[in-house]
Amino acid sequence: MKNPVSAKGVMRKVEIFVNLALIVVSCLLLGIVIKKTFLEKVAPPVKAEVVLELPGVDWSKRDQTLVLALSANCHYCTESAPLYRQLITDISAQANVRTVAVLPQPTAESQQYLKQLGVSPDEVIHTSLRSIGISATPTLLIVDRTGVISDLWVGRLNINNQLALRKRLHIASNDLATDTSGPTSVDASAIKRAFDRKAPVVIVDVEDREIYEVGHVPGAVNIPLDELEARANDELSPDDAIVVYCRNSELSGHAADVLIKNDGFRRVSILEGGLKQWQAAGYQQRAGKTP
Amino acid sequence: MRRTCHGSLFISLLLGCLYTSAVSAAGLQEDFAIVPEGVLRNLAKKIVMPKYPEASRKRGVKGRAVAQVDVDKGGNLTDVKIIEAPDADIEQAVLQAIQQWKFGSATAGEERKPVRLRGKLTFYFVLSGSQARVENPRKFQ
Repeated sequence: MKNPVSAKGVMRKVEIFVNLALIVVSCLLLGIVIKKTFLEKVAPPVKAEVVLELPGVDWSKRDQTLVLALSANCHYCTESAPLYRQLITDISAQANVRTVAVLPQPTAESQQYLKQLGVSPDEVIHTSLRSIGISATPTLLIVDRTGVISDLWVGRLNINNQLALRKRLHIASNDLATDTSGPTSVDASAIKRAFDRKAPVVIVDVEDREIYEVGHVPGAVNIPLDELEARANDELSPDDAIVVYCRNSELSGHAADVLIKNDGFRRVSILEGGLKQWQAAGYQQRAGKTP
Repeated sequence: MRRTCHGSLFISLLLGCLYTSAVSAAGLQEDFAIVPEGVLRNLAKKIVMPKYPEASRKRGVKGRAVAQVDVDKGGNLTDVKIIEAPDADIEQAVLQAIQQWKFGSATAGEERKPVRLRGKLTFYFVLSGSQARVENPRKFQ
């Protein structure tokens, strides 16, 4: 038969232990909240046209600085490494632009992370991203000579944003994309030039069949956007220079994204302004079904 | 006579209201979640590949066939439209094959409500020498 007095004593001890554990956990949580709220410097969120204050960085050294705010724990940053490598390579050819990577991890750890990715910016800065107003990674900023943010992009960049970023850094190319150029946006005259020199270029109209049949760039094949993912590997070659277009550029960015992300196509360009620009340039269009 | 007119008017209004309700309900039923081919194929529980029609093979007809399919909330096929096919025989072969496909039901949103689906299926009718075969897009092989 159990002794009710000793059972009661055990229960009492368990109760005291649980209470102590709860007090310790509460203190820890309180400490974290106090640290985050009062002790850690939190700057207002960064936005265009405000000055970015980054310890130890002299903005006046170059006309533009591309700031890559990354984190070693951010998988979007890791996945975007090919884009950063390409941008740094393109920027290195320009004397008036430099790149600075900002990470919350200690400098040695940050440098190791960037080395693993093959990303080599001009400078690596260790700072709390919250303290400079950056709440998400990756964030890419273009800062001018006076420290003013002229442009910023948060998150993984889609094709249209990549093209906009390249344009702002004056590394946009109005020629067909090559294996190493990254996506480009081209105007109608670039396509006409490619036709004239009989360059191997595949023009893809991503509108629905009915719209394509009304009028399209001569020689363009029709792969509607919602069929592109399924058909690209069978009907296009990753070695081809591909130009995608629609009526007025609304779908072509998505189409280029589908090709580059899902199917490994590298030489993808977008016809800026779509068929409207082609027509405005005075080039002929053709009607009828896909050849 | 006047009472009869009022009665007819009331019945007409009632029928009109009922008709409007029925049409709007039917409109709601027309809502589909448009899904990529990969999603549709992943939901398929029974897949029947089209057979290469002998007549098409003899005529040397080859190429791509694309069908649009509608699937109800229970995963049943409700409509198949052939959007593109190299000839009528291949169109018929694709239609007959897809009509035997079975799908699992799909849900959407946080509430995981069952949804009707609309998507496309692509097949390639390939002739090489005396060999004739039907292939799925490489992406789904």
